[in-house]
Amino acid sequence: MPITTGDAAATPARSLRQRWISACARTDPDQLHILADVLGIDGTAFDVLRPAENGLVMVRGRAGGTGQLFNAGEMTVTRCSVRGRSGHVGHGYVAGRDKTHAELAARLDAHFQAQPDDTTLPIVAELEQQIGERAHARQQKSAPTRVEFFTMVRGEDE
Amino acid sequence: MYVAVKGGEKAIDSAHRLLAEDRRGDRRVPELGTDQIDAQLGRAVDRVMTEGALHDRKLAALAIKQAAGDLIEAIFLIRAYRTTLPRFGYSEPLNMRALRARRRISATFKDLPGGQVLGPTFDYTHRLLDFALEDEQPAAEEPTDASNVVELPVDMPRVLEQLARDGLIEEATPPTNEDTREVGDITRTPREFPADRDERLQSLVRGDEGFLLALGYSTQRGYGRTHPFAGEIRVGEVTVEFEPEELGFAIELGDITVTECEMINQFKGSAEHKPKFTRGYGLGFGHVERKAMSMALVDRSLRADEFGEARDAPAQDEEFVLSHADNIEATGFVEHLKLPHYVDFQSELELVRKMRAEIEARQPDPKPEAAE
Amino acid sequence: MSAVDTLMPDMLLKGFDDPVDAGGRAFRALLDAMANPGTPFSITCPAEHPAQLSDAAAAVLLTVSDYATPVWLADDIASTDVQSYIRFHSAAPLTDDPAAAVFAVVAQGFEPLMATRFNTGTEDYPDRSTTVIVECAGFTGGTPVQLAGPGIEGTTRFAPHGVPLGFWEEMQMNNAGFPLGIDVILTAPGHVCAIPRSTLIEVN
Repeated sequence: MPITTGDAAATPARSLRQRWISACARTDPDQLHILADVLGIDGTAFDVLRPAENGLVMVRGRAGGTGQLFNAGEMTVTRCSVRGRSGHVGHGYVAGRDKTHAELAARLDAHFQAQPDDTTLPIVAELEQQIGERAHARQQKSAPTRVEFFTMVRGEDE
Repeated sequence: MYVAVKGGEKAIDSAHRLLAEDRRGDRRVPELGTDQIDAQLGRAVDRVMTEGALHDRKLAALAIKQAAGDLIEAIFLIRAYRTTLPRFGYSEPLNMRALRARRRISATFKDLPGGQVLGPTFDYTHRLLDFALEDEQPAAEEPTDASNVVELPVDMPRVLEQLARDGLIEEATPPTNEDTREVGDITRTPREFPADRDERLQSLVRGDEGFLLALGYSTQRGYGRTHPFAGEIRVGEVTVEFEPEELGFAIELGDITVTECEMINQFKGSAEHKPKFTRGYGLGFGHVERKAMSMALVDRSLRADEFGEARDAPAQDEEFVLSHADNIEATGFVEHLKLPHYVDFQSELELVRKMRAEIEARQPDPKPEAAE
Repeated sequence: MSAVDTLMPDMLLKGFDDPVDAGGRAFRALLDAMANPGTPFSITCPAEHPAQLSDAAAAVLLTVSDYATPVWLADDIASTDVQSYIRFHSAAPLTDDPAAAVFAVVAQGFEPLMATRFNTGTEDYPDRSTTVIVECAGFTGGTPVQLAGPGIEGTTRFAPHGVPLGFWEEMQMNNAGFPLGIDVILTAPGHVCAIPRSTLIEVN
């Protein structure tokens, strides 16, 4: 099954950190809770640099999909920044208004920075796999609605 | 001129209580959850997000509930709420090539690479009321016949890009000065005329669906004809990326559903230019197909100057279209007529009385009817 | 406008513990200060602030600056720490041009303020001027001056120390240009005190 995490496929040069921040944003907060528990992340071990806050990101489109930039409209986004015991600063940016989600994402970002990449990679890959599967499943519900149109010759002059 | 009026606090409080009661309706009927609105009145949520210019399904659902289903009131609530939030910045441009389309049709080419995908659509329904939906217990879903179903490809090429390759349609060229030019933002800078296409598109996305539908329709009926074809319509999910300054690289924020419409329009060509097709673009949050199509028609009409077309139809009049497309601006001005204009009206009343008195003074007294 | 090219993530400091509530209280202190020129007010300060900036100056910046208000920093303050701090917490753009600044910060020291390099507003929009945060050592123990004008009942004496060289003479000139001119917020640890352009100054 082809798995894609959206635009990720088109930008191969993404750093591991870029991937885990993205994956945390696109993973359900309940699931991030479980992950944080499994990783033994203690919420009290972080200094909050910028408490979780709701805000807006203006979504940009392009005329014709590929042409001139324009501002299409905003979306709600919640962000949070924390500093872990290791001194690493973690940032969480998530769509929507769930402050817990942004806080968890920020803690995970700080946590992963303090870990060796080869410990983190399989976790990130697993999250991406699940994100990709969900996106894929949603799109494939439309597969049975693919249609072949046939043009019919009409007219009385034949 | 409006004058402040005092008093009425008790009546206003009571009116608000009555409004709340009215909104709730018959208490024997279970209260409507915002999750139900989100899930089951999705097209209303989509419209409120698009015209409220804020993507947040839960907020839109809440606004619809609070507004008792009055969508313009709901859009008003969303626009007001948005002003309370700080702006973190601008997203990376949506990568529409990576849209995971759940619906994708073209009225111009029947054989598309990737295929025509109907997705969830009202098209081909018979517009017969389905009384089965009145039942509280919905009928069991019929399983889809999964035999012979071929998976949708991840990559569906854009229809118009194919035409563009052959030079038959104008390119959707990004401006060469993209790095330096500020992208117009009507939420920051009041719009001025003439407007650039970026500002026009931003105004059209949030423009009233009914207004744009009527204008689009008017172009089809001959008021600024552009001879449109629905080149491609897509509905699907796209990942929004954003580059926070403190990170210095782009990250994914999440997925949003968008609808996109590319219209193909005719262009006669000129002495310098060989004839080629032109294009109009429509985009909106959620599944907003009628809106995206109307927007694309009006976008193309507003480009009249670019193609040296006469601007004599309403849909081609930029100032007319953009000044009246926003239903919150419009409803504000129309509904303000309800506000006290007592002093205003009194002065007009006096003026009319005075003018009448003057005319009467100039006219000789009407002759008394034949006496006796 | 110069943006900060690289922020140093590991040097980011905390802002207000509760931005909404603390920001509101700090704003109240600024309103009080502006309404009572020459009277010091204590101000709610951020949990952490860069070394080059007093806690009160940091509080003012985090309270009043945002994406739409360019901030100018005097050379001795414009460290990466301070720039990152402002960008991270208030998102205000940083500018090299004092005349383009809505807010400016001048370090404590003996450098003259050079009030005229800032934006003093226009006849049509005198409010579109720079508000300058001037760091000083404390609000007592300096050369006393007598202040009068709007917000001051009769006169008040004020003697901050560690203000820029020739500060009061510049403030007198600033007042003479009313309604044009800059407004000054003096900051000392934990406290703010305003000298708006409307204040008359008598140097003894």
